Amino acid sequence: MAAATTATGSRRMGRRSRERLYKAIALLLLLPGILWVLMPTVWMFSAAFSRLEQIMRWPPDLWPDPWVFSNFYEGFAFLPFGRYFMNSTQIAVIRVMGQVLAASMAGYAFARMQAPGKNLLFILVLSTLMLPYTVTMIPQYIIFQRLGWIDTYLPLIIPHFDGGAFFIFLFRQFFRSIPDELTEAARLDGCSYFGIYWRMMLPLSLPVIAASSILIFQNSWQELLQPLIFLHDNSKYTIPLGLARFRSSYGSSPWHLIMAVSIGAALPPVVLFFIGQRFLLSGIVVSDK
Amino acid sequence: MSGMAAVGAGGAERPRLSLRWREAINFYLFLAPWILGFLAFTAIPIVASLFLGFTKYNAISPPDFVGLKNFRFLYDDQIFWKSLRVTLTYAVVFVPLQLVSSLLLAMLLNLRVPSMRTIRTIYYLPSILPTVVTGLVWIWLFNADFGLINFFLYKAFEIRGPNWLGSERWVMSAVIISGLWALGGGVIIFLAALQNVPGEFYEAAELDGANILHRFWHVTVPMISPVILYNLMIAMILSLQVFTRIYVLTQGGPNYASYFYNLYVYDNAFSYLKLGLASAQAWILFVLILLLTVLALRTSGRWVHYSGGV
Repeated sequence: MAAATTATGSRRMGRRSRERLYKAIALLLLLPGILWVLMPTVWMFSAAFSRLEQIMRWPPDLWPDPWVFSNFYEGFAFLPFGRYFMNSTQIAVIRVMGQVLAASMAGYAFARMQAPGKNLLFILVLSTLMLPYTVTMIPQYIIFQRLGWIDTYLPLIIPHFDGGAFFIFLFRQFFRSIPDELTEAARLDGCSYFGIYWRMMLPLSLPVIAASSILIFQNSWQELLQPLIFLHDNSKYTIPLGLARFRSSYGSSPWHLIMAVSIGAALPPVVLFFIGQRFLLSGIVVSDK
Repeated sequence: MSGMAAVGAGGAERPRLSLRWREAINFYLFLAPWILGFLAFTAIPIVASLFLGFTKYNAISPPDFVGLKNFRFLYDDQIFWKSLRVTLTYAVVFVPLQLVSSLLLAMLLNLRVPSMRTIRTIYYLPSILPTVVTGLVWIWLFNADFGLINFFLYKAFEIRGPNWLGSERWVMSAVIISGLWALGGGVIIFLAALQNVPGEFYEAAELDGANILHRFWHVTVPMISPVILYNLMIAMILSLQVFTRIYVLTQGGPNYASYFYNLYVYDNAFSYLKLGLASAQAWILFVLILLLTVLALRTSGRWVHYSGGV
């Protein structure tokens, strides 16, 4: 119905007003979606500030009555979530640094250098996207066991120091969009490849560094399968592992506390996203111009 | 100056061979982290897991070669077929829904409207939250007695909602609905691609009298078709490997109705220590993904247009 009026009306209307009509329709579609998208988050907040009885009430009441602020304190004391929080942070920070460095190096090589075997290697990099983690999971477990890495964070960090196909691709796309003249001048002045990479390319690629740091941090922060396999010692748990273990062992006991902890768990990636948000789109160059 | 730059950029006409060698050596040095990581944590494990797939191995005594026994066991294993069916059903329904809604959402978010940045942020929010956290929240939203979803169904349509996560019939719908809530990653990539479509193309199409649907079909879709292909393949690959959300939401239940493929692989490997069997399972999924990817790439020639050679 709306489409039909748009089509017939378009010939008579000016371009401006037609644009405005499209935008109005778009907003009308987007606004109800916002309710849908925010609903789980709103529920999480409401539960985190409520007493347990209020969560299990029909009809549901999203306004906490009374507001219980001690859930946060109690939640973090109930399980050692403060500790899990530090563990997750430590893993994510080290992983981001190493992975961004490796991905930018590989991306630079693929974007700006020629070498025999380059195209084949690039196809190999991309084809790792198809590999299910479960294929490498079991041999990795055996390797890490032999190395004595079980119950350390190394299995969650070191394998990512290859850069990862998606991030190598992101850096490559970005470096390809930098004009050749810029680097060729430096080359003629005798600047080494590493000098160009370190002093010219990396500073220019701040948007990609920011975008990939955010995405890698998120990946690391929410990873469950790897901690599940490689961490057995309770004190070594990450946030997702702690929450998942809690879910399987306690069933449905103190959910208000769990929601309070969940807000804490969601905070670092959310804050990081807000800081780096403006880079997220400019850092992702998906097609060549 | 610009002439020299052009020679340098051409690559083929390097002045001296030694320079070319230096470049190649540098290339491999810069790629060393990837190559080493690939060999140690991908290439060697792939070969090892193929080998393990033909053995009986419990991580304690050495692997025992058993030929095709693992594959024959899986062929007769009802739970294996069930997990495959669950996963494929999910993929067949979820991937097209996700792809279409991500693209539509990206197009809406691409319009220049006041406060669009805030709207974009809100829509991306679900993808920032850790999967385990959102999984825990969804358990409550789907709760049969106090959940917001059933409350809404009752208020709006006077329907008594199902026991979403506790019923074999409804659990898959619940998994799909909670999956469609976090579209984030694909939307961002679509959005980035849409912003790269030159505005002149739309203006030209508009001068030719193309309406909004024509413009979508004849300008937008061809221009971003490589990205559609990429998102399609990634969505397919990821939907066959769902793990975390299910581990939190249902743990595979009720009665294996949401027992996804990788849950069974994980259980066989680390709950029952049947590492050989799990390796065989992992390889079956790998081959399935390879076949689907090749199929997608083969048929893509007909609808994917490369303007600049990605």
